[in-house]
Amino acid sequence: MKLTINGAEVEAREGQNVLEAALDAGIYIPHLCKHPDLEAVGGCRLCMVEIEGQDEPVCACKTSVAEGMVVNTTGEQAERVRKLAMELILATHPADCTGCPKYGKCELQSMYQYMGVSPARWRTKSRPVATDESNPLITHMFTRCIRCGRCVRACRELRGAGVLDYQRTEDGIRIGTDGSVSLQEAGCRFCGACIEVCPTGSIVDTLNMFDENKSYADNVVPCRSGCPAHVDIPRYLRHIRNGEYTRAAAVVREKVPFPESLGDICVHSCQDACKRNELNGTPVSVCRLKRAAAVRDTGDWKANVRHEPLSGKRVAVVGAGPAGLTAALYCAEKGHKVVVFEANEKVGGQMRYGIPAYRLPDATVDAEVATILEIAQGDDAEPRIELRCGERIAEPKALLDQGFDAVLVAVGTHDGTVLPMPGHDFEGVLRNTDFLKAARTGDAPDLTGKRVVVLGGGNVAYDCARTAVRLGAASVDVACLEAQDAMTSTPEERAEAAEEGVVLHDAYAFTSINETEDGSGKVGSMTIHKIERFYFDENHRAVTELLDGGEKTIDADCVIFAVGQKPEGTAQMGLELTHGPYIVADAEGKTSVEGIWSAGDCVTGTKSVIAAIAAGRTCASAIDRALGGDGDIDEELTEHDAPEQWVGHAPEGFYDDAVQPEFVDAQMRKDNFDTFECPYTDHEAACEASRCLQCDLRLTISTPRLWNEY
Amino acid sequence: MTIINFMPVHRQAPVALWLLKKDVAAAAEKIAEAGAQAVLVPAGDEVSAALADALGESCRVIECDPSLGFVYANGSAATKMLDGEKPLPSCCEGEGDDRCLSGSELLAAKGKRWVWFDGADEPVELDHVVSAESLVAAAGVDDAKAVGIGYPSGLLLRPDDTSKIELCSDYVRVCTAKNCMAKALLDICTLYRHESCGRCVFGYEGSHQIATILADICRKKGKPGDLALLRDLCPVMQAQCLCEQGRVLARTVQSFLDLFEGEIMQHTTKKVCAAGECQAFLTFHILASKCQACNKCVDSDVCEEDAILGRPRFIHVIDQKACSQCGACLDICDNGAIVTAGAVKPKCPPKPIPFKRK
Repeated sequence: MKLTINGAEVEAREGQNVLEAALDAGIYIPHLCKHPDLEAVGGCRLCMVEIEGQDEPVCACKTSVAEGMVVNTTGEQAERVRKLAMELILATHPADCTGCPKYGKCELQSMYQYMGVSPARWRTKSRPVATDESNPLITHMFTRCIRCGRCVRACRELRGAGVLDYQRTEDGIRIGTDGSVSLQEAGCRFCGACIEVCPTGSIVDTLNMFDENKSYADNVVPCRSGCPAHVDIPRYLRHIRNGEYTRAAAVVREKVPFPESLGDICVHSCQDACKRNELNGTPVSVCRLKRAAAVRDTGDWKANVRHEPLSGKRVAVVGAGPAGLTAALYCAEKGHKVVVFEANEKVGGQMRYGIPAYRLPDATVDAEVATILEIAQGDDAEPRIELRCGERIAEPKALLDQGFDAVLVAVGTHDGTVLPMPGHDFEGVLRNTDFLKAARTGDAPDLTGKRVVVLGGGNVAYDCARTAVRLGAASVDVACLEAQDAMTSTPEERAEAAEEGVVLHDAYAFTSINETEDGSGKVGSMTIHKIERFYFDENHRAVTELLDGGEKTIDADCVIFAVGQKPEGTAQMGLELTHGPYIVADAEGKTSVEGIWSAGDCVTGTKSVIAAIAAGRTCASAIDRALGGDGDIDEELTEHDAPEQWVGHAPEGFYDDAVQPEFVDAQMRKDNFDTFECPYTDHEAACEASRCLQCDLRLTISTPRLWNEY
Repeated sequence: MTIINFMPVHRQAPVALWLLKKDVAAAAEKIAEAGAQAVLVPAGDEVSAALADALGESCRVIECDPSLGFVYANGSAATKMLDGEKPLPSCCEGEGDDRCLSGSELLAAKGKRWVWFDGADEPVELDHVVSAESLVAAAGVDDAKAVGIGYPSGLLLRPDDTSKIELCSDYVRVCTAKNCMAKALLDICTLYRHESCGRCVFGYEGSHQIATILADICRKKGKPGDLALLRDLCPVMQAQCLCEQGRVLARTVQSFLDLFEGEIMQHTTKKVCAAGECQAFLTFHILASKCQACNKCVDSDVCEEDAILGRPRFIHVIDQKACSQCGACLDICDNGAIVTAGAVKPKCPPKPIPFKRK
């Protein structure tokens, strides 16, 4: 259909209104109450146009296009109404633009500057409304509200939540909930659509919640940006809610090749970032939901895996932990042949040798590694990834000489730290790394009836303690320097360990490991001393003040150091090191030697599996680029469905705490290495996934273009 | 969708409700004849239950917030209430698919119309076609200055106007010389502002500006360009408001300005409220003829501004420069010597003079 706007012939679709037709044709008409995703109302009267054959100007958003229609957007009458409307809006709007959080992004500000209108001839006095910060996540500053009604329409017509509406108050019409109840009481889903469509600074994300150094999208969806690998969490949670587990697992696999392992042991920084923390304190159980999806994964996504033709290049990976295997997979997908060298008997790195089997069983690691090999090979006749276990590479440079085009060093941190304290060399003193690995390989010392003291307060210390429990120790004590609230182990970990009988001595200094009385050269007890105060002095030196009479000696047959671990053998690799044994690598993993990259714990210090995977991805991409590829390792393993916009009123239970999965009872689990946390049932998974606020839904709402973008 | 509205559009003139209560059964019959799906009555009114009984299941009785009036005359707003939503108009009455019929019209005899004159105890039945002159006669007012016809007409007519008009409002106010037309208009505008739904700029911000400007005028704070602003705004409001409410208001304001621009203007230009009704223009005086020099008005400390001059056995005088027109002193004098004055001021001594007992 054709019509004429300002003398130019313009194409329009049947059913469009004049405003849409003009904007599509690049002709700007000021408008406020009309939002591209919402029904037109015609309240603001800014989009006035004159139409040939009609006496009065009409609002373009409520006028349907017609064949041959002749429209003038700048006629005198239309401009008069438009200016008057803007004057009236501004007359009661606060004039202090610079103090507004929306300054520079405000549609009203942009528009009145475009129109050059001042309300000075009218009675100018804003209507003061107290800022409402009582709701989580969303702040209402309705003194800036211009009653365009976009938030009401977004809440009711787009989202179906029906929380916001026009409210009559003594001081006039306001936007709010019926009965002025809190957003939660009104059934708000906290989807943020109201914030997204508000043209002024009336409905905003709680001030200071956003990190200025992060992008808008990263701030709006903090779980996704909080995950080192940027897994599209809201997207896969929607699939879980719909019972589409394989598609959920596919979404996870677009970024990480170990969904189930991560479902078991991920440190889930996504959950720390989850906006539900602000709502009722418990985040969505993203990690458990990932496990729920992974254990039900049928692998239908495998056909969509990237499989580029062979490049003829060869990549060597030193260390088959999460960083190395991840990099191996993505290098292979990009067409490079990969050989993975692993010093240990089996692949998996810390996932196999550093984490106890009751948290991450061998079978899970084996299965996920097998899948990596399978999808890397695809329909090739030959495998693209070759695993060579039991081969320790002392000098990675030599691999370049052997014909590899790139080498990735991802050897992790397998050298446990022993503190040089009295008695550290008695028989019965063990290192975390050795102890945990021995437990995994079946070479663990027999602890039956033994008294064990673990030194350290992190999750590894608890891994050691709980492993000792399972090896039959008569008693297990954990002692650490930090007070309980400063310990790096998770509260859940500590609670579960306590159920299994582990006793915690927090805020204790380690005095000495003592020999048995008979001078056997074996450990007999452990002396620790209560710390009264711990701080850093002006020279940043740690100072511990001990409590008088706070000494305590615990009988012990075995003392395990779990006070940190570092890379092994890096000093001989010919790479630049830092802070002792750590490898220097840039943001893309490049080391001081051309052709050698490094990733994972051996660069960053002991971190997490997900951080190692993320680093592995970065390196794979960098290596691919160095080998002549485009470095693009992103995948779409399942289609991006357009998410349902209609979320409805908050259902019953929406504000409840996280769903707890079933656990095997402490007495039943403490004598074996079986996993004890059951994956969510279908119902539990659906309930928990439904708790997601779907923060990303906001990003699907169109952003109206301002006049300077036309 | 047809809805019959028994909500008083003007609270002073509950004509439809009055007619309904006179004979609920007959009203129910007429409602059924009209094929209405719903009727609107004020929440908490006992007629609601009686009407529901009489109507049976064919027609719903919806109880409405009695603090509002105009909005129920709009079909698009009334229909929303059927779904439990707030009555927010989405278009002018008559433009959408839904109709809201006036209960007064439904229950009036053919060719007749019931009208409630401002201040009357009950409505009177008049011919459907009237003139300002006939309305003044019906109201029985001698010194009429203007005839105001309420919602949805929004007209102000000269009392001697004989042109025929169709009466379509329940409410008529006949203004006399005692009524200040600026204040009369302010009262109407305040009501419209209270009812404005806030969904369109001209309806909400327009009524806000009009009411604020008029309030300023009546408080002696008018500005020279005020009436020009109203003249500028009202025609646009009449064309651009989303529903008839703002449009009727704009028409009413224009109608007042057409007939009484001078009287309203005087408030600003001459600082005079000719009718003596606007409090801010009143002056306070102590009549020398009545003052008994008792000094009670001074002794009582009633005047916070210390504007009452004098001492015992002197005729007291109010210092007009110091007086803030608060009115606190009016009742303190047992002799009724303290009075207010509008345009015409009593003669008073400029400063206290000795009191001579007569």
